[in-house]
Amino acid sequence: MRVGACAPQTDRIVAELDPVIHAAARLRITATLATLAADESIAFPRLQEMLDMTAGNLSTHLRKLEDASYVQIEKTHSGRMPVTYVALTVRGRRAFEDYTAALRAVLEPGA
Amino acid sequence: MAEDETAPAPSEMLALVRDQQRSVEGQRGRFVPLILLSWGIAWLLGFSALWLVDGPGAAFALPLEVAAAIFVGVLVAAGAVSVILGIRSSRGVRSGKDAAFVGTVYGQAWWIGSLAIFAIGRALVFNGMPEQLLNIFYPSAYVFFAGLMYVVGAALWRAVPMLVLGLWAIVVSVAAPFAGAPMHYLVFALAGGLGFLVGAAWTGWWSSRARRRVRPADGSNRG
Repeated sequence: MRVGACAPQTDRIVAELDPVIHAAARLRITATLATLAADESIAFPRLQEMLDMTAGNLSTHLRKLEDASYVQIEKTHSGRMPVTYVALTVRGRRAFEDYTAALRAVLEPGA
Repeated sequence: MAEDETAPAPSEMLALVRDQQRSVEGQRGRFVPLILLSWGIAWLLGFSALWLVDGPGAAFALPLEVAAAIFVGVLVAAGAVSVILGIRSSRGVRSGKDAAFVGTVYGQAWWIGSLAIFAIGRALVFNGMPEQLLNIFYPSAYVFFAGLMYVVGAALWRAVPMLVLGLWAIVVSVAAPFAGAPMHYLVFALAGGLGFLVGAAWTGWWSSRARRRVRPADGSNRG
């Protein structure tokens, strides 16, 4: 922990950070999905490309996010090709906003 | 892969969010410099061709038909580049009803406005304006309209380069007619064309910087 002297309150906030999002890979996935509009979704390969992750790695983390109901995964068809679309749920977007707000509260106390 | 449960300091996590979102913006906007480049070239060549019809005086004159063909040709080519790259940029993203509505209305506004300007020009002639003045009215009105559409687009998609370019086009559209015909074509070619080229360089620099940023220290990319 780099940030100044750790007030007990700061420690408490850090300890209470959402464990689903508080991991580098899932945070990047969530941050990327949060750039889409509320009713937009993104195809799995395009998301993979934006994150520069392997398909296996991305699937693993998406499953965890889906288990927490933070993302919605929809399997559909485009012509004969199966396509998987990923989107942040309302709950996921709120969790992301709460998470970044908590980080800012730790880093800029009183801001 | 190792279970990626690394949880670095809050400042690093916040930086990761910022860098990742900037990278996504850069990746989705990587087509913008090419679109601006194509419009810069189109304005430079198209309006220069119109100026060459009787701008240089007796020394040289490009036949009007040739100039008009070049003008229409480069504008159509730039339009095609915009449409193709625009579609490519949203590949993989399924838009919802809101974005689709905004996109459709904005897209249709381009040709509705263009037809309206054409009609207004003809109406002015119908009411006694010398046909010659269309040479002043049409380029100015169209450049003004395009500039305004850029400003509207900037507001819809929060794009600052688009706003700057739109305002610049409006300034050029208002200033150029005061240069008189055919000098105003040269103003459109240079001020307008170079404006787009500067915009292309600016957004190109920004997008190449933005999209290559995220390299998390924990190697979460490759599991």
